Amino acid sequence: MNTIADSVSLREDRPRSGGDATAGAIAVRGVRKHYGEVRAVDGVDLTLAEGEVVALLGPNGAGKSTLVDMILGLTTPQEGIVEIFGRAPAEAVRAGDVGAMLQTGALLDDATVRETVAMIASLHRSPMTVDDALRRAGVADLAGRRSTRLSGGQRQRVRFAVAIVSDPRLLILDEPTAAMDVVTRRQFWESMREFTSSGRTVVFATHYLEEAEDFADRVVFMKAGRIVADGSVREVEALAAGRTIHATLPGADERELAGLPGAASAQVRRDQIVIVSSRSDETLRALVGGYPAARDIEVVGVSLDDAFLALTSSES
Amino acid sequence: MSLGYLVLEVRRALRSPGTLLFTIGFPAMFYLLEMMLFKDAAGGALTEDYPLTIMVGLSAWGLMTAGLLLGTRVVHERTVGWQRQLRLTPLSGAGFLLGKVTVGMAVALPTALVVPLVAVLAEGVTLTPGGWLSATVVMWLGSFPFSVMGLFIGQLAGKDNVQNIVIVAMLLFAMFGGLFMPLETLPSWWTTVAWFVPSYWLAEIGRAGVVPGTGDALLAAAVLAGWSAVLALGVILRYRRDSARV
Repeated sequence: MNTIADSVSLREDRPRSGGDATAGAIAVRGVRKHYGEVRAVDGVDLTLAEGEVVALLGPNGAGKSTLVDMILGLTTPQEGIVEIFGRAPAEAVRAGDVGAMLQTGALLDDATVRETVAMIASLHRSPMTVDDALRRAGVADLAGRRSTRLSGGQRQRVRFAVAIVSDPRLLILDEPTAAMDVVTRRQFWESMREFTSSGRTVVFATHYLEEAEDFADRVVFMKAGRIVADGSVREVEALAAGRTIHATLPGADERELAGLPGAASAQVRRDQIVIVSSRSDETLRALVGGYPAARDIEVVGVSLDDAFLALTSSES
Repeated sequence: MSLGYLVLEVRRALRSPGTLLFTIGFPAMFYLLEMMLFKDAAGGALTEDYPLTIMVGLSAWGLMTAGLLLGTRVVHERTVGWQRQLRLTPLSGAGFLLGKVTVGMAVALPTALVVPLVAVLAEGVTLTPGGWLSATVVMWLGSFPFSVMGLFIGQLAGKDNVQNIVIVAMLLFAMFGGLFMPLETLPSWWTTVAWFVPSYWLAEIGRAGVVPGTGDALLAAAVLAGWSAVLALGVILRYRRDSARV
């Protein structure tokens, strides 16, 4: 394990706002799922209080989608327990407590938007009205359209309508804004805010860190099937007093720089270098000592982006 | 499961005109073709019943095809992730089965009428009211296991092979079930093979009512019910398990 991940001690013992921990929305304990040699999820513990909005981050293949599948009861873990509102996932689903927007399409070619949403609504015991779901998702004007005639962003919003029509207490979104442009993405998060203002629990996986920054109360980083960091956005940004060092250094070698003491990763673009470090003082001394040509040196606190890079790109 | 859900499922299914070619166009066309080519060649004793036997056979073929084609629909829905979305609703395995089979049966309903209609118009076949009931409603109900089979194929097959599986099943069942030719004109081992093919029993249940003294309707009903039960069990077990991302 790298030093940054080791220093993350903010996992279990920090007070949490908005919700009673005993009435947990999600309780994942010691969950494992291996596909042959691939350890998709390799021992995950995660507790969510009701009302929390949590971003699930990590590179492709980190195990996010597998974890989401297990929370939804679509996949059974080989080891460990998953509980949603104190019940097995399948029971919570039957009760209509869980809505989800999965990564794959989930729209029918031969049905209109209204029909698609109505089909899902008709299977639930106490759904909101179809009109309400369409309006909240911002697709009321597309009600009569076939899904084959929708743009990527429109499809995503229709899928959001499908996810919320059961009026769920827990909403799980797997990369909800993929295929959306900037404007649509903003509209989407506005719909989301409206929907979650009434204390619903939300988990969303995303590649866009600014979405996590803007929207999540809490950020969970996954890597290689494990959770490597878990905390509020501020906490994760301030993680391990991480800093990035920017400098001008012609002819630098990325691998050499990443090997400096305390460095978690390094990037070289032309003669500009960026080093993410958990112990920036040491790294800086080594940089100045070892590379007298380095100039314009700047040390700044990490953004969530940098923390993400540091946490997920280094070898374990 | 609700009525609204069933209505929407059926409405969707009726939007694919390609299916209608297989379930209505081909059976009617083949009926006329076979009458033209083989009626006189079918030979003495058979001649009288031939238009009826082939009517039942081709009707069975269309009904069977309507059921099996359900498979391609289901594969498509699985591929786009719709089945995973359904798994996130209270819809149970049995509810899923009921919904899909209702679709298959709804698509098959016009098929149950079209070949008898062509037989009346083109060949002037006549039947007792009981005979007509067998040729239409009883055969339609008898095609139930084929909708279940189509559904099961849809759950097991992939996007690339489902067409082949459906076509091969359709042709084998037609051939060995004796749907295209009266079994009497074929070697006797053929009939023995036919017993193990569900399509034979679908034709049998129609024949028994249409051509008096041929076939055992109760036995046929029992065999078709048996096929239905086994396949339905397969579908429900598979639905519970099949949620992996495709």
